[in-house]
Amino acid sequence: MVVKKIDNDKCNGCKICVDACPMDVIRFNEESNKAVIKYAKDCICCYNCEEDCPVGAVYVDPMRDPRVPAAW
Amino acid sequence: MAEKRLKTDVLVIGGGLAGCFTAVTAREAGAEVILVEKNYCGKTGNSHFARDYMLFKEEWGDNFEEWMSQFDMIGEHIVDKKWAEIILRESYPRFRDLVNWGIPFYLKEDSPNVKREVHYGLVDIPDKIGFPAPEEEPFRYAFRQTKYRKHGRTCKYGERHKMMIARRRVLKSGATIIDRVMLTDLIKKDGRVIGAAGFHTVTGDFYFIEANAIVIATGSLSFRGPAFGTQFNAGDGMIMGYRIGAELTGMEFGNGMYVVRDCESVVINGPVSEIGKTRDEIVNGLGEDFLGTIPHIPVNILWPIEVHKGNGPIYHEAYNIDREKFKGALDKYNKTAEGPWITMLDRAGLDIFKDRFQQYVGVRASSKGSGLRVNTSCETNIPGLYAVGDASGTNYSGPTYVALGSGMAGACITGYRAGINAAKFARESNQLEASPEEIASLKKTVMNPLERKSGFQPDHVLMRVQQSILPYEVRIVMHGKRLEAAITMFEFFRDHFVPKLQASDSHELRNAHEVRSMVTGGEIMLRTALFRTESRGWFFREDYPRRDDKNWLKWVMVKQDEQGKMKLWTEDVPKEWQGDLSLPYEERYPLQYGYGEE
Repeated sequence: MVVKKIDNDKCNGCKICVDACPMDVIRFNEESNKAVIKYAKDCICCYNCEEDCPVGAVYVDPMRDPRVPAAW
Repeated sequence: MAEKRLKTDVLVIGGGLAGCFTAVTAREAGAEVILVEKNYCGKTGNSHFARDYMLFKEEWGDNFEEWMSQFDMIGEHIVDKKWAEIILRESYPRFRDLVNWGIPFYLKEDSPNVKREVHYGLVDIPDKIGFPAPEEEPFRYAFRQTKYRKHGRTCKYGERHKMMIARRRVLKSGATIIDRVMLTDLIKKDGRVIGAAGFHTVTGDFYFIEANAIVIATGSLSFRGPAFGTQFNAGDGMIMGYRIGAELTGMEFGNGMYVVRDCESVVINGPVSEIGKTRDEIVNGLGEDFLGTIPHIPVNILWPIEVHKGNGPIYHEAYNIDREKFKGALDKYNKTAEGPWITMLDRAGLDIFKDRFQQYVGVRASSKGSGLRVNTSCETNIPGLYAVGDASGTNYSGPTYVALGSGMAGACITGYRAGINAAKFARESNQLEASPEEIASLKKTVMNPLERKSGFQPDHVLMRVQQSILPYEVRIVMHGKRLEAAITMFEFFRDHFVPKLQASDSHELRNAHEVRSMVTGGEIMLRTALFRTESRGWFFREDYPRRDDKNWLKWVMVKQDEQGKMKLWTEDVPKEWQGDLSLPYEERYPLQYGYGEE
């Protein structure tokens, strides 16, 4: 769920998605030169990363995990 | 982990639109400015996800008296009219500033300045801009023009990259931006605020920044709930101000957003009308159109009351729209600042144009105009400490949201005022230094969760906070007994969890400090709500279901006293702002005079 996938074959190491995340979910692995999903539990599905990725490597699922308690 | 020490004239905490506006203004007034953002300035803040900017201009035929009286009626006679006037009159000059920055507003064909002006209820939106023509309209507007809500004008932002333009403008002004640093604690000397401490969320470095003036621009207090684009607002700034004795106001009031239950990342305010022609689209669990039964209540309260009666859930009936026909329009709708929610719904397997789907009102935490109490210079009661945007308590909006887009206008207006005044204050005061002992003690407070080997995980505390405050029966349909029960839980979180929060790395340290703010903020919101023994606007107490003009034409104030206790008191709304008290109840509160069975 949440930010589900960063396609390693597509990722060009530009770090745009790392900057774009308002929850510090995505980090950068200097060794592999790829972005990695590190704290998916904090993803709020804002879609910034997928929207900004210049090579279409990111996929965001719209459901948060863990789910937020609904008002009712 | 390193220790970083910096010094500046004006420190701005928070890099949304209000923070950017403050930084640019203060820098251009001659101050050295550092802007610190716990995320990446340009990709965060409510402003990044917002779409509307309220515009008022007498030259365009807007009548000041009529707008003010509408603010007053919707804000139910506890609107701070001094601030309301500022927000109306300065909305246009600040809008011009944004246009000069290059922020992309949609242009209307016949208007050279404004790409698209949208009046509430006016649906002649040119197709080429991204919305279908009115006769084909698959979406409905919240804040539709009604008998009581006549005046309003917003200008729509373009896509999300607008905040990157603001970031570039800040850098161009010569101000410094520090990303991914979360400041968590302020320090005072001789009664004045002199610095802030925090850490880098990636490297874990400790930061101490000394400044003559500090501006809090950290947005509202949210509980990382479903309300879109607010989840990073943990009330960081409000609560760090509170901890050094700053006063807060309006904290009992809340705000709501309509959330799709099976796709919680989608908030649909657009297609759901607050009051108006589209109410037949919403039904209760029995399939009944209940919106007509109590005609004067805004949805924010009416839906939860219907659910509270046992008639839930609330369904949105499908429009039966031919998707193929509107494909182009839907694609364009996907590109607004509120997010690509057509795509999100598709991914959740929902077709809102064909399926019947459940919605609920998600608690959006603190209201517009709630926060650190400020005067018209945006100063708090602590010398050198300023607050802007959603973090500032201006009371311009009362217990509701008086005008669509006024939050964004308010961000720019307060940012501008704070920028000028903070620069002036910084220029005129001597720099006071914190002692090494004071800095060491701050460092301990900031870094402690990281050093603890055992304790409570921030995720657990967050879950308990959310479970205790997000359900409708706690903060929407309120009752003294339930508020007291929730306060009991928050006291437990405060006394038991917070002192033993443990973080495994610098990311978790951020979560630890966010829940620390939420626990204090939640307690403030619950206690102030318990304190206001009446109902008003969106503030609904089941045990006090009527407005109490005799006792409650007041603002609730809260601060931490010298002993660390939460102290609540009221301030009277000035007589001349209270409206006509001789009017009968139904005429004084025509928009929403009843809350159902009373």
